[in-house]
Amino acid sequence: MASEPDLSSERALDEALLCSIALGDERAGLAFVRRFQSRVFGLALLIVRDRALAEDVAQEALWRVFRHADAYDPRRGAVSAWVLTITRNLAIDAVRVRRQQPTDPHDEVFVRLVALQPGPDEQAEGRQAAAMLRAALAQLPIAQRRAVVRAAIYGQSATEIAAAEQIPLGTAKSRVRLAVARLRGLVASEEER
Amino acid sequence: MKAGERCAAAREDLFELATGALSGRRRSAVLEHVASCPLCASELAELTAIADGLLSLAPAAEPPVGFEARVAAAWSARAPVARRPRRALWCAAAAGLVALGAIGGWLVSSASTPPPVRTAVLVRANTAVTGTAVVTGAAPARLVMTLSSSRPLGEVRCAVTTRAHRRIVVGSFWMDGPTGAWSATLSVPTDELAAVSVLSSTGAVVASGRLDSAR
Ligand SMILES: [Zn+2]
Repeated sequence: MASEPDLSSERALDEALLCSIALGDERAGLAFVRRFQSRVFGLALLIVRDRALAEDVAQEALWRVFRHADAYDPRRGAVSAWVLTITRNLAIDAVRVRRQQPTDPHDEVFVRLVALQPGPDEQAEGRQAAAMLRAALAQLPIAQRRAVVRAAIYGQSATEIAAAEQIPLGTAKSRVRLAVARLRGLVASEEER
Repeated sequence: MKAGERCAAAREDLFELATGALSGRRRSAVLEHVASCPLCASELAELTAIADGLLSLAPAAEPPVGFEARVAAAWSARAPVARRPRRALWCAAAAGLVALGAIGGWLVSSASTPPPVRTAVLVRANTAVTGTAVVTGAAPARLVMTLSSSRPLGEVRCAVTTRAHRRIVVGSFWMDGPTGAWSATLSVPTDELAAVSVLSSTGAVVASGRLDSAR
């Protein structure tokens, strides 16, 4: 029988757990919470910048995952991406409802996202891609990095980015476009090595 | 509008579609185009991967003490609707993915009969160790387990118990953090299994659970 640790199956494990949840296993739900809570809370906190509100958002996000586990579509991406997307959308909504205006990240956020070392649970397969992307992001000019982080993490449209950065709409669009093109190029060239 | 122009117009907004920033009529228009244009659909898939990847860079942060308990309490308060087990079609695919141990294999497996799925909740009274074991596939069966523990457990052994009460150690792994994940291929057929347990290096049961019936 095979006995080597098989940590390369992170994604399969997430799917297996979510599968158990969809089949009605509440305990799997709790195992899932333990597995994702720090990532979900971390993302919510980054966006809403208020621990109490972030907790509400994280709880609601996990609840939605639990509730809609049967609707998850593996063809559209990893479980972790699905969970984080739900979290982001809820966090953005929560901020909009509470402050009546789009959130505006601190400058330190843009720096921290690339300066941070991978966390202790960032070893396995899926996370190598994260490390690669982090390195690629670090190579972008800061203006492009800000634009693409605003778009991907804060869900800002080009119009919102233009307003927040006080730049013309065309400039905002081209910064995002250039950043995405360069990230794709950098990630692709890393993968070829 | 010509086909090329429609693509060019859609591409303008594809990243905003991937990040969820696009809304209203523009969103429906782009979605409609993507549904009928394989080139833009594959472009969207790549942009979504970039957007998802960026999202995963958000630093993790430990939620306030008691978060998990509050989640559990909120769930049981709301659960009557959600607890109802539902048929999840994608599950057969996920089970196939685990059983084959290969990304990309699930498309093939979902076309054939879905493999049986059995789960066990791993718990132990008076210890803060919990986990889930999922057994999928028939021959060979694949076991996937996840464990959470408030303290590092070091080396642990994973064992399965058959219906004939025979305990078979299937392997060992290290739990040097609060959570661990591990999988193995089993030589015992899925339907002969009764329970899954995790043993310490001295043989004490750290957590165990009975496998439910095959689904
Ligand atoms: Zn097109």
